[in-house]
Amino acid sequence: MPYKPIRFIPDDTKIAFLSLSRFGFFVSGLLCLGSILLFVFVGLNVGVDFKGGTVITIRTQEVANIEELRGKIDALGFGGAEIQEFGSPNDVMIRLPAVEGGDQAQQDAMTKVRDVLGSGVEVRSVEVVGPKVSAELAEQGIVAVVTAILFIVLYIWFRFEWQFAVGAVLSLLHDVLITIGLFCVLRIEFNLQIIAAILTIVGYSLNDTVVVFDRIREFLRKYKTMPLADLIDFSINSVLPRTILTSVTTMLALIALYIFGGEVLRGFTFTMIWGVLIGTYSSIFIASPVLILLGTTREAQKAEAKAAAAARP
Amino acid sequence: MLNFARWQTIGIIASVLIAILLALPNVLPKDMQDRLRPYGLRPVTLGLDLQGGINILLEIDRDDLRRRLGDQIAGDIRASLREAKIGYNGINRFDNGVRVRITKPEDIERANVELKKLIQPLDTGFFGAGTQASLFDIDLQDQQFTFTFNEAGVGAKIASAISQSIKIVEKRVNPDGVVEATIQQQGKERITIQLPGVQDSEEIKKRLNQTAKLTFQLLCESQATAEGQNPPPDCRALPLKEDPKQILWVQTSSRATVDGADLVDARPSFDQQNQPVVSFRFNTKGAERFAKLTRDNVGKPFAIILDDIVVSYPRINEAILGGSGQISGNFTSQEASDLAIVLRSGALPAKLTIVEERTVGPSLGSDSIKAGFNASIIGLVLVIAFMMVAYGVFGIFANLALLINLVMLLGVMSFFRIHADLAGHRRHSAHHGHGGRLQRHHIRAHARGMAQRPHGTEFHRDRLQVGLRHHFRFELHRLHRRRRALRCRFRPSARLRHRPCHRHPHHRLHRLYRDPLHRFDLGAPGQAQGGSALRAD
Repeated sequence: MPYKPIRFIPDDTKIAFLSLSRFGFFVSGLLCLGSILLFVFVGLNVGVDFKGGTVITIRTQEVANIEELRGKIDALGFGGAEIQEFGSPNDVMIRLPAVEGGDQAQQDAMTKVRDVLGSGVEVRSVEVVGPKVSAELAEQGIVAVVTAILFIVLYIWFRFEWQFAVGAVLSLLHDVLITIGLFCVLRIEFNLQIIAAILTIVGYSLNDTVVVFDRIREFLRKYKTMPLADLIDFSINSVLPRTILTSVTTMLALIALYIFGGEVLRGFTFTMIWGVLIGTYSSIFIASPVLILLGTTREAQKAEAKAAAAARP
Repeated sequence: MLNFARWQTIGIIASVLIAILLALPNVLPKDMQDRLRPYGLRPVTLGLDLQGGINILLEIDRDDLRRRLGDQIAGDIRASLREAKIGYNGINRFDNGVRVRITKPEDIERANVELKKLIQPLDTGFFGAGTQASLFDIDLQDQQFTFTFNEAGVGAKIASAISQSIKIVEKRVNPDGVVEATIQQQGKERITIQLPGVQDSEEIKKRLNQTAKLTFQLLCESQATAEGQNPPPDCRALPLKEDPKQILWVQTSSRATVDGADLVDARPSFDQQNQPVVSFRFNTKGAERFAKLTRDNVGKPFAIILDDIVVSYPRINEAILGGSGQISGNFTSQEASDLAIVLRSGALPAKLTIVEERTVGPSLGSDSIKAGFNASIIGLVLVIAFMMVAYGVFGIFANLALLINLVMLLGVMSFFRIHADLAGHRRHSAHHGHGGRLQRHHIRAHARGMAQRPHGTEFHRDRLQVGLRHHFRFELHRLHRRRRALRCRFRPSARLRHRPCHRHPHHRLHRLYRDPLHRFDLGAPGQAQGGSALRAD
């Protein structure tokens, strides 16, 4: 008898996802609304990438005296410098807001801070982003996310019916909105890395969604008499092991990266972990139930089948 | 059931084996890696965030460029009206161009002809045909000519200024050619610079901050006696480097000016008092002008002006006929060698502003490598273990596929780097021992007797030149062989396919070989063997 694998999800799992999704819709709706409100009234903790400014990370020989450093840097009079520990007690991150007077002033400010720090500390990284570039990066970030979602709509529309496209996009928007809400609450720095992570989340969540959709479409052809609600439940249940196991393996890799991957990558991996969770949730509880709400019918399927038959020689 | 034909099976196994071969250098010891390098097998090249290095984004200063173009056209208008003996009162600069009023109505026709000549069209298209835009539009309204910028013309000017700047920037950030620098245009008016392994951004930025426009201008006969006086016509007030409060008046007429554009060489050296200075040499045209200027004005002081600051104003003791001279100005030796580098690279067409800078220190980079490596191993082990638990035997297959996938990824990343790197081949060869050793060898073969003579003499230059020429000829052959072996045989990247095969290494070497500055690029005479091209390890 060879080694017998463990079944994490029993074969005959029958969870009534659609009836649960009523509750899911409600919670998700609240969360989305809350995220929008938070975004508007509290706002993101935007990093230098998008608002300009300077970030310097340093390593001191002894345990860093943050208060002393703050005193030194505040004495320069740039105002609003954020100084915090970065990974270990010897590592400090200094964030300076954008300085009046354009790109050159920004450079001068950075040089002054470096001079004040003196030679006793090791400057490990410096980022200076001028006002013009940061505005462009912010614009490009938004454009990137919006175009990604737009092309996904087109693709899903092309491959499935429009109801599927709407379902997929709603679930993506849901993921992105709640991620942004989370960033508003946790005050984690929102920078280019996070945009990259959000784009990855969009891809991941879509992947999950398409797997479920594919199964639904397959079953729509296979079980012609099954009521739509039952069929969707059945489809989700049948892809459940695949969905869950994929998420678990991804999570394992991400958690290892989060814990051991160093301070530089932490923002990215945190977003990814969150994204995998919410992406899995949204493909089950948002994307598929939307199909019912929009009244997907078999008519479209039939028309498509006919067209395909006609196209065949 | 999956069914593979025999050729498919062979193909799959072969591609896996090739991937393993390509990925192999990543796990070999250093000396093995070096031995495999000539065959195109090399480890993955690390990005700036892992290797440590500097990333700078420069933007050309549009306003500065317009100001310069405006100044230039104003000068041209003045010169051409004077030459044609047409009376005018006042040339006014305004934001978007220049205005000039002709005094007498009967001169308008002639002035129109003369001024039209000034706005020569610029090519905006690639092939000269079709779209041509001039830099300015002329407009005549009762005796007043108005030159306004033509946006298409300015756009073309910016494009050419950028490509010109890229060459200059390259010479400034990488004067010795030993760093593997990447300098590229980004968008319409930006340049990115990537310098892996370089730590000190301050020095580099200092060189980029100057446009390095050098002129030699005569001082005006009369100088200000009190503060706030206006300079006489054809004179400009400029601050002195040592004491910016002190203002000097210098003549602006073109007869009293020699331009740094005619420099062919600039080196840091020392004067009789052992002060750091920069020695320079003019080309023939510059030498003639300089000789004439100094001959006609013996005994008078002239100002050496860098970026509108008077560096110093020595007296002309005698006519300088040889076309070479020294710039003194209380430099430190670092300043002198930086100034020599920027002068050698030529003046930038307009100021460049640093709009973004990211520097990663080597220690942060190596920490990231360590952390990333550990995290990947731990993650991989967790995933492999989970797959085995969840899928049993199938999990083993899946894990095998995962590992092969990783190897293939690594192999492809290592391999494609070859092509990206060929661009830096010369720099590489200078960097990685072998080429440097050969270069030294070739120079030495021609350098007998050098040690007995003082540095920086003609004799030195000649010997070094012959040695370097020998070396470049040798390198050229070596590169030819390599190029034939590597580049033309397989070029899988679509991006590279449309580039002609012969273009790259050959092309670059020829340029190097012809360019006199590169021929002499042996570092400062002051630093004994420390000529950086010689030190190429």
